[in-house]
Amino acid sequence: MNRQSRAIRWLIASALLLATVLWSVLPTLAAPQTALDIKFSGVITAVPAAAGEPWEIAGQILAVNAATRVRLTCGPAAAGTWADVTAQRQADDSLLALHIAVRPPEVRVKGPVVFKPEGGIGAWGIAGQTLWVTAETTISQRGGPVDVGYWVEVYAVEEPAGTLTVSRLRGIELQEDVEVFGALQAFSETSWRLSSIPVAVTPETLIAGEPQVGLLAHAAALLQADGTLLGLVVKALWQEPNSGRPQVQFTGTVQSLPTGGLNGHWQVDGRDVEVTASTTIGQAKGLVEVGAQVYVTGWQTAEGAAAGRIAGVQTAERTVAVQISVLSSPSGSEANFHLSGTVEARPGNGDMGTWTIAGQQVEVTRQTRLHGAEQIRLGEPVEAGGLQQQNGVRIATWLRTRTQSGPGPQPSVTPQPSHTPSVTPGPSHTPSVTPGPSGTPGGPNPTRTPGPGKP
Amino acid sequence: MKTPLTASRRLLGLTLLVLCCAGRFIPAHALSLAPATCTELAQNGGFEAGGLGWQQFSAQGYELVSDFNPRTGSLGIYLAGVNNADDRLSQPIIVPAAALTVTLSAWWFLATAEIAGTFDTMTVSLLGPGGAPLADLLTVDNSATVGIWDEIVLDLTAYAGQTVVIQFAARTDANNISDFYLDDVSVMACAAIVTPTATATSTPSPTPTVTPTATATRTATQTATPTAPVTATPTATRTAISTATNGATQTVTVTSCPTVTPTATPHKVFARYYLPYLSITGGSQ
Repeated sequence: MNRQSRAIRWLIASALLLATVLWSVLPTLAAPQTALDIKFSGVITAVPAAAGEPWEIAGQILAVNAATRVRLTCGPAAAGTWADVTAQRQADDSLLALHIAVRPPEVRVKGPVVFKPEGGIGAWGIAGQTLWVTAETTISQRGGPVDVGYWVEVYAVEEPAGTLTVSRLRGIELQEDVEVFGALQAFSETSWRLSSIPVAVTPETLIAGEPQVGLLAHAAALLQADGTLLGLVVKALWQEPNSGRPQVQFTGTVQSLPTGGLNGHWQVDGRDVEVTASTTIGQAKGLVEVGAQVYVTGWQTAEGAAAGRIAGVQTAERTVAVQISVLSSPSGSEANFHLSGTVEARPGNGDMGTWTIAGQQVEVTRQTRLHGAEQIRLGEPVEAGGLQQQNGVRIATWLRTRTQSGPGPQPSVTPQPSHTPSVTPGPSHTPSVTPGPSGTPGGPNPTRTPGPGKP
Repeated sequence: MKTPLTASRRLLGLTLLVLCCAGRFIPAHALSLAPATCTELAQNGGFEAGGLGWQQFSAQGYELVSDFNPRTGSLGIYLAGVNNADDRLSQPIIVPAAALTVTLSAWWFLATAEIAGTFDTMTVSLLGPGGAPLADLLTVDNSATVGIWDEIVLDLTAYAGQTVVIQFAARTDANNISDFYLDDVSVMACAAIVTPTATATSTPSPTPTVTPTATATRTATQTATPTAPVTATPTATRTAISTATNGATQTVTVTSCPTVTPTATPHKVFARYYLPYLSITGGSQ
């Protein structure tokens, strides 16, 4: 190849490359994604029948254009499937879709197994709900036992009749709250219904997002003794800038805390944060204390702002915390513990002090979230979780009454079992290593020590 | 041994890469791809043959191939799912020297008890044939969206002519368990002619035309001689990479999720573009 022809080839290729880059960038420039985008998740009501026609998701009509991106994650888009949407509100108040990610309509529930049928196939009582396990259900016990008294995460499909058929079931660690993720089918001042699961709402419940039928929603709730769910936090997945209750999230260092416990006003990086009894607080990585780094999600309140403007003074912004998660704390993160058993001893005066639960001593401190403490007496079944310090002292970060396990109400209709569901067992006693075709690219040789079993 | 590419081939490859890989920005109607000659380099990428072709390591002794949460078929990979996990899955790949584009793609799914921060990760890496680290291509973590399958797409063209080991490694910390599920891994080496055209005329079909571009037959243009078995495992549900026009009205483009973030600059993460209406009706599980 002579030098001239080579130069021509370079020239042509470079021009082609330049044109391609311009071609690819132009649509993006035409529809840049901004912080003012609306984000929501909901049930697809209608997919377009023809090119250019709008989508309907959670009751919202979404126009599309050449810049709209649609992503299928696992299966086709159809009415009834779910979608995560980023959109822009237009001058005429209509919505233009920027991104639509289609996902299967999979309800998720985390909670304790209260009852299950012999053989595993049939109706299970989980988190106060009746869920149907079939022969097609896959079960994993890697994260913990899947059995009565243990906590599980359920992935389920809502049938047209409103029943929930479990597609997957996996064991998880004990949690402070029950969680439900599903489609918001109804809501009122006293109750939300997520994919057929009712969650009671009280004035103390923290409500985040703008509820609307057809949106996806998440609830953190307490399982009551009667099997109902009491909502601590219910969140509709709709986020719109400049809404009446703008959502905020930030990471900061705790500068001050209330004196009597965790509820009240915190100072986090100069921000005033209001924590209520419904705020969920994660202390698995460390205790809430001054100097702890925390991640806060919640909403900004407008209270006081108007008065401040009238008075000519600047009012401090206040965040109502929906969820606070400790990322690190000065006293360090020690081992986690979970306990389930009856109360054998407790302080006689107040709740703080040393408790004995299932033969284990647990310290209840100002960092402990007590749920239903007024009902906790000697002999009561409780669950607790927290951090075990290096000196062996267990500090409970949460403590609550435990819903009694039992067979529960038997369903009137039982699916026909064909065979037992597929169960993925816990760890074997030797590391699993299958030789590859060459060398040892998988890394260092595993030690031949027994794997720790789950408690 | 690496076979050097000619300058023109490099340029063509680069052009093809930009055209193929900048799908996040390219409307579907803007391009016309001539039929690509592609070869699937990954063996048993859908894991339907269990662990065949893959090396597994689990510090706590778990079988990584699992039927618990496959994206397609009946088997997939289940990494971590316990505290203090150290799980690794790897496969050696011989990348043909003649490949103009080499694309590693995989689908992953997160379940986690973490609330915030970054404590549990899954890293996609390249190792040398002896296991020495070459590059960390991408790390995803517990802060990603849970409960949704997401596609990882990575450009491996720079490794044409080399034997590399692709590795997926998951690690978790001491509390708040995360699960990383993996399925439909593909390493596709392609040689194709790409012709940009402003007036594409193909018509979207109401039914999906699944085009598994994998083929067990290597092309005549390849010069590298593979020394390890190369088995094509076309994924039945992979959406066609193609183009269409929707008239003058609108083009809906299907891309992969933009949430993944590359950890190393030389390995660009890019998104696929798909036929909108094929994809809308055509995906299946």
